[in-house]
Amino acid sequence: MNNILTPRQEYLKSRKQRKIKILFWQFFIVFAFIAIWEALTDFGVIDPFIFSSPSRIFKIFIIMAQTDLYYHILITVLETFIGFLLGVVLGILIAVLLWFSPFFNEIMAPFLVVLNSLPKIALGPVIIVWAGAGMSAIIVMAVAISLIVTVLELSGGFATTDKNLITTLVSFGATKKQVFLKVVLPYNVPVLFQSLKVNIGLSLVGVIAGEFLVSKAGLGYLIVYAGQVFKMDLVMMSVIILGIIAFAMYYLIVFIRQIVEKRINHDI
Amino acid sequence: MNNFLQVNNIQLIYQTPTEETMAVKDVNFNVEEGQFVSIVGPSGCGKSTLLSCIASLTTQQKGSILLQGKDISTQRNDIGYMLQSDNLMPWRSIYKNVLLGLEIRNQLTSENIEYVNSLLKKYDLWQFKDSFPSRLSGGMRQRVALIRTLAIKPKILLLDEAFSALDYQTRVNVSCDVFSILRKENKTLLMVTHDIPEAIAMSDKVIVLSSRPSVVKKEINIDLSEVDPVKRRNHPAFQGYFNTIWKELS
Repeated sequence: MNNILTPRQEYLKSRKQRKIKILFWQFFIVFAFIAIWEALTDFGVIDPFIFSSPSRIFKIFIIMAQTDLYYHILITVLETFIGFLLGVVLGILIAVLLWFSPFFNEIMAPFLVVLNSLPKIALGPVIIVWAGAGMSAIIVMAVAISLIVTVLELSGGFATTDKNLITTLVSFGATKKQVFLKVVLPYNVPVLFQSLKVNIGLSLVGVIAGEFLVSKAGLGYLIVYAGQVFKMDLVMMSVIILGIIAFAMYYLIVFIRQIVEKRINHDI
Repeated sequence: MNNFLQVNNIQLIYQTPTEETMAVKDVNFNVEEGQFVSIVGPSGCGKSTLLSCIASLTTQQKGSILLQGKDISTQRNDIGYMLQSDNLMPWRSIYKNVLLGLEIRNQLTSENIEYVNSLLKKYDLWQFKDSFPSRLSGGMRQRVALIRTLAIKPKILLLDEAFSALDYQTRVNVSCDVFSILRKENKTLLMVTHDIPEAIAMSDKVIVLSSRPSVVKKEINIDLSEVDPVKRRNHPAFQGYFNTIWKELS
């Protein structure tokens, strides 16, 4: 009797099994990659001095962890968060301004297009001169890379808000501010989080680019330093840690999104 | 009271970079208090534009629109306007949706909230007040939208193709629902529709507009002994009205 499942149970079971299978394959790929890499270096197919190897990366990680690895990670994460927050706050402010004034929006349109397609890294030397050779230059770089994308994505989202919802509010006599707060903003929560997800990655790009150009600490600094002295183990270790940071920050955004959406559905 | 709403010599010309379009040429009609009036016309004839003039959403028209003898744009609080589909905010609960108009107008007084509560109870939506719109059927959502509009106690309701997003059966039921609720609440109704049977079933008077630039082609008083919109559709005189309007439109 216990073996007979209702269709609902069967559905839930197959869903769960599918999830487990996917997770299994994801871990499998990681382990296979590590194992093959290790084997290829062990059997001398590829040169561990150039390609490094998982065991060497692990060894250098243990050594670095006992000295100042935490400090480098902390610096990079801190710079990324500050750059990310500044980029997001400024980006939202500018997008809101553009929404409130279609005239200003039209004036700014060609400038935004140019700034968006311009490779911001080209501004690196200028930023260093302006902001000084230190953490502030790195943060400015992160903001420069993520800001325009935020502005464009958000103002695009604001502009495509359901017109009928806006008209409904206007027919109740809503002011422009009320239209923004009660329709445009909640309507664009998914767009906002979509741009946050992109932005956290872009801020990291900006920080690493900045650290390549000018820095005394951080993972970007470690990579440049280690590359110059041909310590490939250290380069690969830093890259792997960067990957883990990017992954963690992405899921942090996903987590915040879940909380915000729950709140919005119950409180606004 | 006669001439509750007076629409006099309305003319509306649109300016676009490429051309100048006269949407409404010269429209005149009156609506009495408590009357249900429909405006029908060929698609693109400017009937929705006309309604948004009356709702004071557009102000570029010439002519005058008077509600109880005074310019309607000074009495926006007395107008309830509903457009295609229910336009409920998916992120708000039914209750928060219904209170939206009052919230916008800063009129969330206990008296008004009590009135909204009584409407929700009267029209069988009270038990859904904490649900979200996606949980409700199309017909129920439309009823919620109507209560949201009634919550601000408008003197006149303007409906712009309000049921056109619904499937046929829901549409007939909802229009019947809206009809009986508005009658019970003693409201005046002016609606725009492209559905001739719906216009006949719900109205005391049908105004037929010409194609663009629109003028009033004909006003037809609907005089059916039956009141219920669904039963009206089977009334022997129904087809006669349909044919008259159909002829005017083609």
